Amino acid sequence: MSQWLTLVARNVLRQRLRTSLTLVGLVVSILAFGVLQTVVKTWYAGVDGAVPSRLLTRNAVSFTLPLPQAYYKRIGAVEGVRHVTYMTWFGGVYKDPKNFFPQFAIDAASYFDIFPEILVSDEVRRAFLRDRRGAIVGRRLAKRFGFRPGDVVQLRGTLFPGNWEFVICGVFDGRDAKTDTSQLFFRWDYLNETLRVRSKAQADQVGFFAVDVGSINRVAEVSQAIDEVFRNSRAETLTETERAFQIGFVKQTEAILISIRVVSFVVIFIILAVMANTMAMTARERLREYATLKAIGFSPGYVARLILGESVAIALVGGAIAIGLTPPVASRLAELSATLFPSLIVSVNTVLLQALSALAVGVLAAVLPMRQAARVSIVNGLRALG
Amino acid sequence: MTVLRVSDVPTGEDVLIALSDVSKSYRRGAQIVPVLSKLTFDIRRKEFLALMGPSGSGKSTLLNLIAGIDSPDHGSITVAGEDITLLPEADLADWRAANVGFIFQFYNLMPVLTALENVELPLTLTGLKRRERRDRAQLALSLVGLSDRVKHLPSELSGGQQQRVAIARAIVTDPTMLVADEPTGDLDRQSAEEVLEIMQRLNRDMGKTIVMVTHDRRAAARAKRIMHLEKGDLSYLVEQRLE
Repeated sequence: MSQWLTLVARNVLRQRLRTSLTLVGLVVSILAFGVLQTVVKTWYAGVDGAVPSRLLTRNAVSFTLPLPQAYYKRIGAVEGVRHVTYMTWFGGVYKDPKNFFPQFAIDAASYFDIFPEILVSDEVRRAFLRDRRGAIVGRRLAKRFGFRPGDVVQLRGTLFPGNWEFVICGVFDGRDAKTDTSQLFFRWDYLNETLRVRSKAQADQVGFFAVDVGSINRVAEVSQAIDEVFRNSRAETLTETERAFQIGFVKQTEAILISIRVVSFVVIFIILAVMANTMAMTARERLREYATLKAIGFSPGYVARLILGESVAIALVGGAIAIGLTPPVASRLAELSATLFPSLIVSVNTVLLQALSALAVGVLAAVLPMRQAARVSIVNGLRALG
Repeated sequence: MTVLRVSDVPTGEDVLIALSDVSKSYRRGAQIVPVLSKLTFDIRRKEFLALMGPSGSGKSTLLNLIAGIDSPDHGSITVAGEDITLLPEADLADWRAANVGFIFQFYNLMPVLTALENVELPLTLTGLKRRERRDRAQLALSLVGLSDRVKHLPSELSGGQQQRVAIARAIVTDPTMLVADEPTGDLDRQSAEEVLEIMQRLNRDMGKTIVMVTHDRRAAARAKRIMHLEKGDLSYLVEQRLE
């Protein structure tokens, strides 16, 4: 090991309490930064996971307004449409509003052709098609509430009046970690038949249609064609890509996301100030040593590199520990957040951003102490108290 | 013992360090405080010179100028024919590494390095291989009688031992001269005697030129010559004959 490395390594361990406290601060900050970045990224996961050739058709006025189910066949007849399905957001309460999870009434026959990321076994699919009151739940939701096939789940309607009972037919999995498995799907025909009795005005309507075009080259053409079919009708449509739809949805919470992003960077700035203070104190205490090194022939640059090395070493060790801790902490947070975050997966970009932040903190915290130590005259440095 | 006027000191005779018309002042707030004024004298090769004088007389400033860690406002300082006042900072650092060994009052060892590593430190600037650096550092430590303390940290050594490590560090590069600023100022009498004995031996047996600032008359008594400074000027010089 070179003399420089020896000095850096031993100086890092010299003030153990100070180094440990600085490390704790660094770990907490870089960890918080990573988790917050992951939260923001997860919020956008729907956008990232959107299939480019998948279109969503909704009411042109607002996505909260329904469309007639009768549009189904007319959309299917538009040239370029390979598959079409429909669904309705249910918004029921399971025992208590805090137990929130997404529920959709879907067309059991066509839904899975368009959403292949929902993995359902043939056996479960057959059971779902057999039982009008049937429902399938995602793996994460099943785990959260202990749902098992055969269980009867009662939801209290908020958008649709009354209590609704479903029989769990099975559990579905996600094709990858991005797929939300905290949802419950039940049959739209069950919803519709019940509404015909309980709330006729809400019957024969759906929330939106999902359309598979097959090729992204035809996306613009097909979406225009669909909207053209319903121009000047009672319920005009707006067809957009799934990605555009998700962006529009996420944009409603943009202020929160921006706040989270800002906080994540403020955390880094705070630890930078703490680290800079630590390094300044360290350099001030060692001015006589730096002056001695310069007197015996070492350059001001060598002295500056000693401080830089120490600062970067502490920052990188803290950064490495924080990066190692981020996935388990994010995973635990996802568990605690119930269905708010389907999963909090730390991306490679987030890890790189964490590493870069740690490196930046190490380098920037050393700038002023390096300048001070390199510039102090040997005579003044030798007079300094050690 | 012969007391000479400064003007009587022979010049040009195997001179190692020549000061010519050297002045130095410091700024204290708005005030300029002169420390040395138009100093001219020579130091010969293999000299052991003690610089004495009351506090504020400028002896440490003079030592700093000779060692090249401070620069004069005016005048020239020539060491072995090279005017060090003309050297840029980076070259001056190289010059110090090759020509000056420092012994400080408070030892100024690196607390995180062992005695051997401290002594080896200046050799890392020489381009020597690690093995050779280690051998030379061992040799320097043995010259100051610390072969058995190589792995000790400074905090595990007494003051006298630390100063001996500092002497080993000063001589390990075989510099042209050693400069010592109150080398016994922080030591008890016995340790001080041991350190002075080593310095005297380095001068006598190895021909090292030593310039030492001291308040201690007993320390100065080990030198071949004593220069007295008074208010930034040489007042008188004592030539000593030592056995």
